Amino acid sequence: MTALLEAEAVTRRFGGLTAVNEVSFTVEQGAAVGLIGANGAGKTTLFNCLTGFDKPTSGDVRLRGKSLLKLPRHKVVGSGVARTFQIVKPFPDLPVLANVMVPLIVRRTKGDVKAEALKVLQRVGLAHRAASPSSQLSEGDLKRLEMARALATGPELLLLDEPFAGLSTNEIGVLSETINQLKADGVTLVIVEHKIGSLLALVDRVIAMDQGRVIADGEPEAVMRDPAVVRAYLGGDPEAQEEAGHE
Amino acid sequence: MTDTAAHAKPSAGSRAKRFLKPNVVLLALIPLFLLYLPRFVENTTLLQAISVATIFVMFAASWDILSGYTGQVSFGHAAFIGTGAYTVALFSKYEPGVSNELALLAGVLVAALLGVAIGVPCLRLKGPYLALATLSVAGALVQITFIYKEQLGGEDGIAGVKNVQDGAVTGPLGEGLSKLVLGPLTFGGKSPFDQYIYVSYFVALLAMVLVVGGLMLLGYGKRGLVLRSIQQDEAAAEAAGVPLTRYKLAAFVLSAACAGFAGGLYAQIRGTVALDLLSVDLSLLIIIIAAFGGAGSIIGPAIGAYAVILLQNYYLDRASDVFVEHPELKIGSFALLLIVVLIVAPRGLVPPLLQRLSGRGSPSRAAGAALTESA
Repeated sequence: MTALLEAEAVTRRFGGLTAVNEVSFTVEQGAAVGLIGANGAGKTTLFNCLTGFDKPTSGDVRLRGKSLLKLPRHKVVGSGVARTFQIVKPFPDLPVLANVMVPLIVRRTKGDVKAEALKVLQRVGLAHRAASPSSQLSEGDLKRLEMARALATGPELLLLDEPFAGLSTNEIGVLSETINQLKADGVTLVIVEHKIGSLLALVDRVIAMDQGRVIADGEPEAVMRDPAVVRAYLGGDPEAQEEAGHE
Repeated sequence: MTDTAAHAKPSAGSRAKRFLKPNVVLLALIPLFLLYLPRFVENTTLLQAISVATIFVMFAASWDILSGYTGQVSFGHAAFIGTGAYTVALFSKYEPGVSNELALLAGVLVAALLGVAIGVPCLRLKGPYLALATLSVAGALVQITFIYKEQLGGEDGIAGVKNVQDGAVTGPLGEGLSKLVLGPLTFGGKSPFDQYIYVSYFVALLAMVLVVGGLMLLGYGKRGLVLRSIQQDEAAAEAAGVPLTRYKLAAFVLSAACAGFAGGLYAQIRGTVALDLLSVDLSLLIIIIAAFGGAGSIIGPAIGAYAVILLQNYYLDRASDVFVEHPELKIGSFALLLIVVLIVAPRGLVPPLLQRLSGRGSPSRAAGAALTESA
């Protein structure tokens, strides 16, 4: 059986800098994979390559065996790969509901788009803010909106770019519940995150990157004990790094 | 959490619904008022000024669907207007046998083609670069009228454009509406000169209702929402699955076609085309109008056009001789006025006004939310 997502020797160079270096991995249907690494490890560049927002210099990215590289961004989204942004990008002047309606409209959703959008908002626990302008949302709610908009594209694979960045412990807890619910609904997840403790509670596999390369890939506990990973995190123990690790 | 969501569902849904519906009744009053105005206003100079303003409403609304909605701010909207107008004029000059309506259609098509020609290379341009590119196209067209002076007339323009009253459709339509509103006897008693003013008044009004109505239907509907999402954040729109190129280009073409239509009709109403229809002044005036009324709402620039053009062509001249002697002061005054307006009402005057008139949220644009922003 083909994996849902396959990255094959993905390399991305910026001039002399190799931000992502021969990265290969697969993500199975229904999995929840964490992607970790220190700042500059190449996570975000890899993330952009996986979602069509950047083109790898070489290598291939496939969804169910079909290459995504030649597709324009909206077709990548249309084929089932959705993403959120580390720095949230709402449509600030649009009401929350309208933010979520946009992907539904371009997917030519049949029936009542507003009702569908509201359903998506309920999934992330944001239905009570449907009519608010998104510029009035708290950071935690903006992260939910980001997720709702991605979910509204009807993804098989959802890539979350630092969903916990900038959130309070409380907000992280609530958002984790939401993400767990998505997982239970069968959405395949790839999560880039610095807050490792919170991440490990969500994922069943971790890929660690350092200087553009994958240095460990496997069970969360095993990866976190991996000497290369510990070294990459400045030699400290993972728990301590979690405290210092956020941006 | 699930509890709150379920509890909030009905109220959130109906509240959200209101955001997306303009107040149709309120908006329908405006064309109705304009339709019956000539019955009560005998001042044909004022009616003429209103006709011109009605044309400008189409200029501003068509600019808005490209710039206000999609965020591709054009500083060269006159290029499309002038293209439509000059195409119509060229038909009158070289193929007078072609009907007015066909010439107008040709004007729309040529303007739409120019929309593609500008839109494609401009897809990757943003902000000041896009503004410069659009500005230079309009500038280049002005130069072309000098290069092909024999055909396009240079600074003299082209006179003798077949007018609206001669149109197989616009003529009877304009006369019919005139008779309907004024009464056949009253209309018949007017001088031919005044009759022409009435005919063009109603033709312009009808065209405006069609164009602005169509643009509003689009703008306040689902597609308008997608256009707004592009204006808000292109990367986010792409992440939401929006085919950016298709929508941005469609906005260019639609905007150009509507502007070409309005420009062509203006040529038929004036009977002449000249460089003012391609000028930077015109492009700037449209932006001033849109910002004044409230860009990104269609209705804002539309109402803004009436306010600004009536001030420019009618009321300022009567307010002070200074403006008669130095008409160039007008656009300067508007610019100053605009600065004040933008400080007081950053979103333009019309959206907050409509909001107050009809209660929270309801008259809003498709995207609507700006109206409820605390800012």
